[in-house]
Amino acid sequence: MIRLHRIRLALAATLVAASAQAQGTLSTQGLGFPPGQLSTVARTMGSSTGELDPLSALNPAALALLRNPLIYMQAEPEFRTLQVGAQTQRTSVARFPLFLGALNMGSRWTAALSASTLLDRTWTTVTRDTQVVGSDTLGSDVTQRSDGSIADLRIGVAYVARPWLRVGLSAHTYSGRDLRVSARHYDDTTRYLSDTLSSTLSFGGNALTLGAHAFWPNTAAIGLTLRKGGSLTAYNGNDQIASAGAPDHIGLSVAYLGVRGLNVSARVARDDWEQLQGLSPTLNVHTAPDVGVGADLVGPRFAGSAVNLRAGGRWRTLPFSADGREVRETTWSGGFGLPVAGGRAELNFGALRSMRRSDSGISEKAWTLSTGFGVRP
Amino acid sequence: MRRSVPFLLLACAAATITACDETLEGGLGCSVLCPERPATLQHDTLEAVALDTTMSGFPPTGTEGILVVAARGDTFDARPILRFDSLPTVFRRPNEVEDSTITDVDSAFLELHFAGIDTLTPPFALEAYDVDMADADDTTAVAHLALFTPARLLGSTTLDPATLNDSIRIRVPIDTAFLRGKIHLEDEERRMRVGLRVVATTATELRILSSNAGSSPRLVFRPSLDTAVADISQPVRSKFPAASAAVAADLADFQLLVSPVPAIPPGVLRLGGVPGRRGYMRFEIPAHIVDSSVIVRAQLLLTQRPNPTAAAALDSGAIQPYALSAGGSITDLRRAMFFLSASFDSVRMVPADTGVRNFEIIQVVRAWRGTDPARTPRAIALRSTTEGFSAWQVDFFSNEAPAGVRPRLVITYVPQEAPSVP
Repeated sequence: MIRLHRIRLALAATLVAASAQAQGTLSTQGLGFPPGQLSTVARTMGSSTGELDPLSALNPAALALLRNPLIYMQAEPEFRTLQVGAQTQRTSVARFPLFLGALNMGSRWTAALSASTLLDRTWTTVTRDTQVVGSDTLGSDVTQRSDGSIADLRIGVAYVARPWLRVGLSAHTYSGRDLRVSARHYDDTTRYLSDTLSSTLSFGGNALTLGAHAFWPNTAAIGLTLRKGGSLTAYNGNDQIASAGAPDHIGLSVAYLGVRGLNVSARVARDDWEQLQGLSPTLNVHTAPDVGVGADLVGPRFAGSAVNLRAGGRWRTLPFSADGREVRETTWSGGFGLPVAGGRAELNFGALRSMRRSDSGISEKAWTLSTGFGVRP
Repeated sequence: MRRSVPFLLLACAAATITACDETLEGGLGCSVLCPERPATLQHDTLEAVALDTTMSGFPPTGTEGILVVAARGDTFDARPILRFDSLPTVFRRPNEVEDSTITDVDSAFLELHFAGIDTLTPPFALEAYDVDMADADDTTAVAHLALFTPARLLGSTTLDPATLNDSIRIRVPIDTAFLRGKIHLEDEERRMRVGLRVVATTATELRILSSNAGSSPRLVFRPSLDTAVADISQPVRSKFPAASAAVAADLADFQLLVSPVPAIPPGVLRLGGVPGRRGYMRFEIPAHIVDSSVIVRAQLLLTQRPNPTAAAALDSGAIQPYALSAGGSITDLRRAMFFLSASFDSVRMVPADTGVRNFEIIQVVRAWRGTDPARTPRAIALRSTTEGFSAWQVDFFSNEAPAGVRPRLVITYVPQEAPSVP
């Protein structure tokens, strides 16, 4: 006769976790870090031209500024240093936050497809853990890894309504995947095999954006973006496990062009990240203004084209934190834009220094090297 | 400006390339930044043995790699049988092209490859007996035992255990007149069969390599009184049973167990000994553990039943668990236990002792994840590391024993939690 009795040892239930881990950085908490969907130009100018910039995946009306078809791509490695008391830890992450292709359709219409990173959740932590199992005190190294992001796939059109006014409309599909792996390697390798748990979450959602762009030569430019988030749903395989609203976005950029060769701009924006709260009750979500100022100065000429020198500053609150205390980010940036290949291509480069702080006493500093490369086929 | 362009381009290219390189490992700020705790280990003790039993006869007669000549009183008496069913009748003298008929035999002996000894005794005798009988197919102990008589003694040698080592080849002299007589018989009767026996003052086990180990026992003799004639070295060979060449090949040399084999008491798994016994254990493990969790440790706990009267009861030996590769279509458990695959760490013990013995079987238990028990039986085999050539055996309480001493499976695992948004 087959007997099967399960006896749980109460003693063995005495489990002690000496330490625990998750993201291990200030910037990648919750659903991840928002690069901002900004081009290198806008990032280098403190995000100040975000709602004016045709290469940033924000304001579809700005696409009308593109006079020629364009393919654009961007790479942004970030080198972080986390400081906890007197201890520091360095990490780096590779990001490719923006791809864009645009096409002119006649003199008034421009269409574009873009893929940009809404939230990046890529991190790895390695920590020590100790558990008491039966009569054993079991030490282990725990590696937790998250590899994933939520991307914004946008199709947008812009229309030149007046010589000074452009309007635009874009539809967004959010598509994301997060592979989470937790691996534990025990000190006692003769009796315990390492374990690896993995799970994959996927995300799907949508949004709609309306944009306007007004431009008065040698005077000023104004860009306004209104994005209405639809739904954002999390799936485990084909099973829906949570649903919330995709964040709304409103942003306004203003540029002063009254001085020849100089562009001084400012931007204020707000993303309603709290609409994501429905995905998980444990998310610590914060919504606050995103403010940036910057300048672009036409510098020395090269091969008949001007080289642009840029600088800016940006102040924002990151959308997620480990606890209720928000993480504030200040970024200073500088860079340049360089036409190459006889003006058929343009290389933009920016170096950004970000300082992130929370009231927990932990701070994070990061260098981000943003390189954007556009080609006119 | 023009000169600086290449440097700027190079710097941008370098920055782009470095974008592909990541160093992600962090964790310094986990006391604050890592609100998620790692999964806690679960530790369950299961009476999960659905079936356990002992199967005897490993290795099958004739397939032994090692033959044992043993004398342990009533508990263990083992005597290998060597068959030389093909004896030469001619030989060739040096520098001649014609064969000569064997008329004389000189310097005959058995050559045996030493494989080990288990004794603390002073020198002992290894004797060779003529065990040929009318029924050439007979392999029974009863028929052979009657032939170990003084009248059939072919020769003996005295061995000192202290001088035996792995490179030794043991020589047992054989009566040359007897061998010459065998060579001169007609074809059907021209064979020599030898039984080996140990005569010692205390318990002794001598092990020799068999033909299955590639080191066949040999009959060596000079087929002439002329010392210039080279020796003939004849390996073991059996022509019987005539109906099966494969079985006949196995029986060229085989293990004969003379001492009786005691019955196994109910509620007991008996492992080891000669003929070798293996234990079969099949488990039923809840699916939420084996399929839906990650098992990090699996322990099979067996309670040893003391057996102080067994042969080698005070000697240390080892039991080793094995995975079985036999599929569910093999319902004959004895046959299934020929399909041993991976082995795991052995556990040493003394048969006279008692206590709980712990076998670590995580590798095989984890391999059962996601398998269909009907196609891949969740079973293991247990065997002695000296199976088939040592009297050493050990008893465990089986699943039919009282509840407190039955086999148990202790599994430590990490439950797989349903994914959720962090």
